[in-house]
Amino acid sequence: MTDISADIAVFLKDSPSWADRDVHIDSSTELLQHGGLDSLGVLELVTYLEQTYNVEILDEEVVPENFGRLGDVADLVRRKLATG
Amino acid sequence: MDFEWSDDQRNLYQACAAFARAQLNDDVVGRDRRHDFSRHAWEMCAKFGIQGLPVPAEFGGGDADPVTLAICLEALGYGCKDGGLLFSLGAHLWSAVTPLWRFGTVEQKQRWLPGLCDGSLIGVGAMTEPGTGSDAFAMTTSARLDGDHYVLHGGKTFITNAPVADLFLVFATTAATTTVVGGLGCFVVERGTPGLTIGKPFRKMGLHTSPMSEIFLDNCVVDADQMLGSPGAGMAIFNTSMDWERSFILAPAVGTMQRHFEQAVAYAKDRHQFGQPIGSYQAISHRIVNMRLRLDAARLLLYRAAEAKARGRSTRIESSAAKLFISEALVASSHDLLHIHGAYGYMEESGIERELRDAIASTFYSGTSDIQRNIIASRLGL
Repeated sequence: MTDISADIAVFLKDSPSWADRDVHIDSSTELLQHGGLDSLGVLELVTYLEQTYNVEILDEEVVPENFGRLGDVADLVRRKLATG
Repeated sequence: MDFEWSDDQRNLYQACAAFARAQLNDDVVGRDRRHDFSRHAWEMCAKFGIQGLPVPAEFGGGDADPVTLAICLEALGYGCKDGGLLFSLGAHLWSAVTPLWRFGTVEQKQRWLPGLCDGSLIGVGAMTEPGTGSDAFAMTTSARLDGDHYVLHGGKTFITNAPVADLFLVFATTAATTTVVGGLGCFVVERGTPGLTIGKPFRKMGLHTSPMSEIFLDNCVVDADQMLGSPGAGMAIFNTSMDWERSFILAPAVGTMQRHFEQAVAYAKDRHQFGQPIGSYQAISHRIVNMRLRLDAARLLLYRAAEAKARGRSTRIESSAAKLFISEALVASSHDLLHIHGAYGYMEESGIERELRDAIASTFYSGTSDIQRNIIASRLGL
């Protein structure tokens, strides 16, 4: 995993919304499948990403294409960092 | 940092306020008593351009930037004393026009936005269910894909405009195998669609001229191309629309508070007790100063949110702060105006008791004050 993906995985493992899930997390991990992140969990993840990487994620960007898998989230952050 | 409006902005404010004062205040006390929604006033607003303010001109709108939008809506609230009409306009603008404007395909925008802008269509979003409210995403209304259409089933409640609406933007779960974040859709349902039933209008404490009811969806079939955005984008659509709503739904309230303040000052100078104008007593003058302070702070929060929107920034703190503060300031301002007028303000004909009844709902709709504090706290990482 890249550093961003690893950081997100660490955050998720510590997150109350995810902590009780006994699964290995990598870039291909589905975040929104049944039992995955609920609306509060996604909001916590967005706040974490914005504060950690100093990026701004609009509500309009919180869609399955960007949050479906852990790797999709990392890609979104990378795109944000690349465009400043 | 420039707090002054330009001449153009001042002229716009004056024009909107003059329009509202002249066209929207006919028999407000009587219509409030009869729970009458005024389709005529709605059409007058559309003719003036209110319903399409933020919409691009190519779809029939006014192409207004967020600051211009706030100026127009503040002026509307200054001139118009019909709180129910203002609320119905807000529901239309933020829960129907905005989702279509921000997420609709070109075909969807061409199909519905011109009518929503010109007043021929009244729209509203349908999210809340009997078992949900603040926990908005815990819904049970479902949308099942069946070939090239969806079958909607469930029910929604507290739907503003429903008794008079032509277009309903219904949120429903689309996939049992994903969380609501990826499994929520937003569907445009036209009045008259088989399976859609509108309930009887509710009787409410205030906002009597804004009709509200339940809606029921009993295997209601809509074409797949009536779903907004990409599959599973429902939460993004709802959150985006709510952020616009929190930013602007109380813009008219700032104008209303300006009117309250001016009315309070005039009455405090005119009304005499014990041989003195009542404004000479600190019990009254301090209350009016508090009205002014709340008004000034409310206006600053409104235009801070509008300015952030104009820059295309995420405005979660700014919009929730505006919604939270302005709503509570509106209730306090209405109560102060009533107190200053005493028994005269308590009389129906004064209109003041109605404005207090109308104001109270503002701390519930679009997310309660507690929910706004929760949103701000979460943005602070708390």
